Amino acid sequence: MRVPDAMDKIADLARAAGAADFDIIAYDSMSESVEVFEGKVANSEIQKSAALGIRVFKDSRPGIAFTEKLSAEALKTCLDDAVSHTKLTDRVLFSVAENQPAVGANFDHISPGFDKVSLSDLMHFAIELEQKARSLDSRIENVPYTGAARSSSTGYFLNSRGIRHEQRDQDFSAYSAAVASLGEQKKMGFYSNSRLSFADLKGLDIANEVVRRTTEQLGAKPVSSGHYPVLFSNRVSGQIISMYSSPFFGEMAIRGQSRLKGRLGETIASPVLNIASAPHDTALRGSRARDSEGVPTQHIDVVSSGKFMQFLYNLEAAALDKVKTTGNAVRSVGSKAGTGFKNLVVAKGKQTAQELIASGKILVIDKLEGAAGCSAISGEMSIGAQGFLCENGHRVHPVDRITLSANYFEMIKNIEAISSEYNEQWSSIRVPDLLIGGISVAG
Amino acid sequence: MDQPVAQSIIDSGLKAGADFVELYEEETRNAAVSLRDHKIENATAGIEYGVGLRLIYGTDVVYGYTGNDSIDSLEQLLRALVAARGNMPKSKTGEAVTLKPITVAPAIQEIHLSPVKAGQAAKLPLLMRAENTGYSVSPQVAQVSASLADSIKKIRIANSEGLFVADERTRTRFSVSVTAEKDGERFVAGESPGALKGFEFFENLDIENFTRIAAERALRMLSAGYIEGKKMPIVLGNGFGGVIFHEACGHPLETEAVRKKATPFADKLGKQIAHPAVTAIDDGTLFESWGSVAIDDEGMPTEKTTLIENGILRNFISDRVGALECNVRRTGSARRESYKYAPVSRMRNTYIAAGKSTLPEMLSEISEGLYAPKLGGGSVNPATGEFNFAVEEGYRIHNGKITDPVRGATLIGKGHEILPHISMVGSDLELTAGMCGATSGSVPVTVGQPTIKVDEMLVGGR
Repeated sequence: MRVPDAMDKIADLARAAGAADFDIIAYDSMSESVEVFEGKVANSEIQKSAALGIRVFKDSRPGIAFTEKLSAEALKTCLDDAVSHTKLTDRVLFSVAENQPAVGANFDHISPGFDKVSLSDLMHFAIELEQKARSLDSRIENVPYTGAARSSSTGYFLNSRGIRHEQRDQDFSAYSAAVASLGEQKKMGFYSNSRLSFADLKGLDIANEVVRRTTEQLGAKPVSSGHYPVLFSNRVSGQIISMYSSPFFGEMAIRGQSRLKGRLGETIASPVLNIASAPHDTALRGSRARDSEGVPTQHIDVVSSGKFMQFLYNLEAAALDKVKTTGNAVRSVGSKAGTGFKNLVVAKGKQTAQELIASGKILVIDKLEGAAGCSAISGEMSIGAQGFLCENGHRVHPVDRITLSANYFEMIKNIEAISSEYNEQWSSIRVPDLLIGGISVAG
Repeated sequence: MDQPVAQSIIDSGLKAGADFVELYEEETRNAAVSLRDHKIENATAGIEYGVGLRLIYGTDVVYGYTGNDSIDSLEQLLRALVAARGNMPKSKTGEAVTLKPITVAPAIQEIHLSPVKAGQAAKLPLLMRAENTGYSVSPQVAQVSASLADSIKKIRIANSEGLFVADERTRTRFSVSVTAEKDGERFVAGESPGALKGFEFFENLDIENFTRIAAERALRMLSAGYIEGKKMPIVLGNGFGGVIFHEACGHPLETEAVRKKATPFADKLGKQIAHPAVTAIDDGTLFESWGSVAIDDEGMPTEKTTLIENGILRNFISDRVGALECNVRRTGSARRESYKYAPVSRMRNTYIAAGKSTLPEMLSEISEGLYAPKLGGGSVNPATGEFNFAVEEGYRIHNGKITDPVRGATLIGKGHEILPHISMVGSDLELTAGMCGATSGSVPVTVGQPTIKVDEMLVGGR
C-alpha cells in the first residue's frame, strides 16, 4: 500500500475505534550509496523503506504504535496496539494540533536532476575522490573509508483536525577518511558534506580537505595542563551548542532537568551570544513549515544579547506550562514527541576567526572526541579534543590527547567573541567560531 | 518469503553472475513501556519488516532491501542490484544450487513467558517497584525514570550454498535512571541489565537492587570533587569497564577494520600484543546472554573465539567477506541491526578472561592513582587506536587506599599501547549489556572484564 493510502486507511480505523483524536506521521525514503576502497567498489547499497506511526487519544490518554508493514492486517494490528496503550498511560492535558495556517513558503529541499544521477555516477565520483586523496600527499598511507550517496525522502503528517502536510528532502553526500603517518604516529582525518545538487557536491574539494585535516595533525602533542583561552572552531562549535540545547526546552524545565528553569528574562550568557530557532531560513537543512505534531513553525529568539528569552515547546510541555506551543516538536514514527530546535542558529560576530586569535596564546579546537563526559543537565563538560596551540595568530604545534573541563552554563557567560564565519556544511546547525575566555585543559 | 521465492531469486542472482547470493528476511516486534515522574510516560509497540538481498562478486558486496516480500518486488530489487554492478567483473559459473529444507537454529535461550503473551500492562507494577525504591533511597533523589523494553526478532536466511535456516531471538532489557540533586547540582546515574530471555527476565530481576545501585552512585557522585589531570595508574572496575577493551581493541580486531588496513593489529596475528596477563574472548555461545546469537546473520553457527591468549593475538573477529579478504577463518560473527544493513564482522559477548589478582593487591602497588568502578561512554578511532572515555564513578587512590569520589575524569590513550600495560587481572569477571554502533547498525553486545590494573594512563580532569 502507498504511504498516503495507508495513512487514510489507519485514520479510518482510528475513527471506527472511537479515538477522540489522533495524528499520524509517516515517511517513505530511498537511497543509493557506494563505498570504495583501493580503487574499486567494495559495497553498493540500494535502499527503499517506509513506515507509519500513529498516536491516538482516548479518554485523554495517548497511545502510540508504528509499523513498517503497510498491509491492511498490519495497519489493524498497529491501531489495536495504539488503542491498547491508551489504557496504560496517564491522562494528559493536551490533544492533537488545531488546524492553524502555516507559512505559505515551500520548504521542500529538491535536488535538481536527482533522478538523472545514477549509481554509476556516484561510483566514478567516489573512486576519483579516493584516488585524489591518496595522491595528494606522500604521508597519506591509507584512505580506508570513501563513499558517496544520493537520498530522497518524503515525510507525511495527518491529524483528526484536518491537517494534512508533506515535505520532501533530497540530497547528495560524500565522505572520505584518510590515515597519515609520521614515525610511530598515525593520524586519521575525516570530512563529509552534502549538497542539494550533484554538481555542487562535485565542486567541493573533499580530497584536499580530508588530506589537509589528516596531515595537519601529524606531530600533535598535548599541551601542559592549565587554563587556556579556547577558540572552538566552526567545525565543532555547533556540536558544543547543540549538545547543550536541551536546557532550552520547556519539557526539560518541567522535569527539573534544566538549570534554566525559572530564569526567563535573566542574562545567562555573554552579551555577544544570540541563539535562535530559525525554521523558515531556506538556506538551512531543517527548514520546515510545520513541526512533527503539525503545528506551524515560527522563528524564536531563544537567547538575545545573552538574555534568555524563550523556552521551546511541543504540545504536551506547552499544556503543562499553560502556554502556546512554539512548534518545536520532534518525533519519529515510534516515539513520543520530544523537543528540538528547527535549525539552531547562533548569530555571527564581526571578526574572522583569524582576527580573533591574532594576539596571545590560544588553543584552537577543531575536533571533539565523544560526549560521554558531557551532561546537559548539570552542564558538566569533560571532553577529549584535538586542535592547535596558536600564538599571536600562528600555529605553534598541533595538539592531541587533551581533555577540556568546564561547565557549559559558566562557559557561555565567558564567550569573549563570536566570529563572522559559518562552516560550509549543508546542515540544520549554524554556529560560528566561539572564543572562550578560559577553559581548564589537562594534557 | 517462502522457499520457492527464495530459490527463484537465488537462481536468478547466480545466473546474473554473482558468486554468492543471500536473502535475509526479518520481522521484529518491539514493545516498551516507560515511567517518569510518577507517570507512565509512554507505551509503544511496532513491527519492523523487510527482506535484504546481498550479492557478492569476489569480495565486492552489492546490497539492497525492500519492505515487500513478493516475487515481483524481490525480482525488481535483484535487477537494480545487478544493474548497480554495471560492467564490473562477474562470475562466469552461474550454476544453480538447490536450497535445503528449512532448519531451525539451535536453541540458545529457553523462553518461559513470551513478552507478547505477558502483555504491556504486566510491565506497570514492575516499573512502580523501580520508582518506589529509587525515591526511598534519599530525599535528594529528584527523579526516577525507568523502562522495560522487549523485542522478538524472527529471521530467515537463504543462500546460494543451499542454506535455508530460521531463528527467533527474544531480548528483554530494563533501564533505570536516577537523578540526585543537592544545592542546585544534579547528577544522573543509571543501570541497564538485559538478557536473551523472555518476560521471565523482568519477573526474576532484582529491580530494587539495580535501582538502589544507580541511586546510591548518583548520590555519591553528587558531592564528588575533581581530579587533577595527568598520567597515573588506573584500576578499572569489572563489568562495564570492559567497554574500553571493546572499543579500543575489539573493533580493531574485526576483519571489517583489518580488510581496510584501518587497525594497528592488521599484521599482528601470532604476535605478542598485550601483557601476558591478558586473555580476551569473544563468545557468541553464552546461554541467554544479551550479546549471544545461535547463528550469526549469515546463518553460520556462532562460536567462542579466543582473540588474545596470554598476550598473543590468536584470531580476528570475522564474517564471510572479511574471512575472504583477510585470509582467515569465519568465526560466526556476521551481525547487523536489521535487514536495513548488510552484515559485517561484529563483536558478541567480549571480555577479558578472569585472572587471579585481587583488588587489594592492585591497590597496594599504587601511591597516587584513580579507581574507576563505572565508566560512561566514549569514543575510539579504530584506525589509530585513539580512545577517550568518561568515568561515571571514580575515586582517588592514595597510598593503596580508595579515598575521595571524583567526577569529570576522562581516560585517554591508544588501545594497542594500553594492552601491554594491563599488568594485573582480577578474578571477578562480570559481563554487562550494551548496544554497539558500527557499520551494520546498532547490535546488542555484552562487554566485560574482571577488575584490572593499568600501570599508566592519561587521565583528563580539572
